[in-house]
Amino acid sequence: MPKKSSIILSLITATIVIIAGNSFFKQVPDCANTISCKEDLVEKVENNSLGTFLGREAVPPKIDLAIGQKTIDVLGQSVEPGDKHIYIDLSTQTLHAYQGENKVIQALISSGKWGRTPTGNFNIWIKLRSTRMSGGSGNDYYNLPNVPFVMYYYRDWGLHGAYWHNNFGHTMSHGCVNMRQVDAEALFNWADGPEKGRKGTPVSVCDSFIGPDNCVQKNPVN
Amino acid sequence: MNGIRAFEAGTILYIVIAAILAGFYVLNTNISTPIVQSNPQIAIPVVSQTPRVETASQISPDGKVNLIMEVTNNNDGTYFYEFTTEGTSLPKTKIYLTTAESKIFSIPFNAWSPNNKHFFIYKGGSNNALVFRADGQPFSETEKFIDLGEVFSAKYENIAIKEVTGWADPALIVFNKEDKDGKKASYWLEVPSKAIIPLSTNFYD
Repeated sequence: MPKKSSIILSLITATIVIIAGNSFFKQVPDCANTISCKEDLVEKVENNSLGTFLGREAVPPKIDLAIGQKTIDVLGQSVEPGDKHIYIDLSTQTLHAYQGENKVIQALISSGKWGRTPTGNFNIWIKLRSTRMSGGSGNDYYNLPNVPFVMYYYRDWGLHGAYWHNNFGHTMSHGCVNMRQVDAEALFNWADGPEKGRKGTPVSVCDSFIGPDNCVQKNPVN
Repeated sequence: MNGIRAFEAGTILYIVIAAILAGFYVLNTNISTPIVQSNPQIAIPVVSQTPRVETASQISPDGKVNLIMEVTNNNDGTYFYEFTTEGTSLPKTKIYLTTAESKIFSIPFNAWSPNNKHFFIYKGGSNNALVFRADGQPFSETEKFIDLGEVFSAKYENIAIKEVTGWADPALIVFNKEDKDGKKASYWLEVPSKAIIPLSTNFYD
């Protein structure tokens, strides 16, 4: 029979392992883009710059800020009024955007491969027509100007267009939610940033999305 | 002394067992299950108003060019495929293929290269692809398109491609293989050099 002191010591050890282990697994890095997140997250248009991704050159799209934002018109249809909500389903790599009870946008995305896309419930805190994102190191280094239609929702984790790859429906990012430029533009024109004390459009990142009231999150960060 | 040693050994054994069990618990509760990949998005042909002609299309990620597929049943056991590229930055080009198999070709969601210079179509499912130049020109005098499956099997015999997924950059097509024993690996096909590049990073989810 084990002695009482042995049992107590074993229980203490198990508790320490569980607490330390959970703390390790729930760690979230400070930011998605490890270099650019240390700078101001501001609008930047650099039409004469080239990007780098996977050690290869990436040609960014030319961006003209003089071309104004389009009116809210999703898929050529007028949208019924209602609360807006964006859901990201990491299991199917799909974005679902709802206005009221109506789904107004569904698009394939690419979430984190080289960095985690944290699950949780957030709000868009800033919208940027274009910015630079950079991070990683070695073969994983990337530096991408003119990233279009950026909507940051948690620190520098954001929804944005990706011009450097076309592998949507599969993980391909450093933590952000990549979309085709056409889809990102539609979402950007429809979603709201914060305004007059009102929060931006809610964004829920789900391990799996079953419906607007059923977003499964195993280890949400908030 | 022996009693103390026995006590210490027993205590250490219990502590180790407790630590292992707790470690298992932590791993089980924290390691997320693998991401279940959605089926590839394929533009399914939709029956058009003209009988025996089916159409499908896929726009490029920047929305500037479009790839349209028309399939005509020749009623003689053959099918005629016409692929048309349209867009402001591209001359309108047409590519024709005739086959004896119904629905052998389809347009994947990620058909277009990010710079709109190439596209690929699925041949017989998502495990093989034909790559074309978007301007309609052949890759060489004898090569109208690149057959990814042929290029891969010439280099890696008896290894089957599981899925061609999309473009990692304007010249790299991502695809995955899976052996009979379930061992997976990812590769790039470089266009137009046809180099097969084995990857240390896995692009399957």
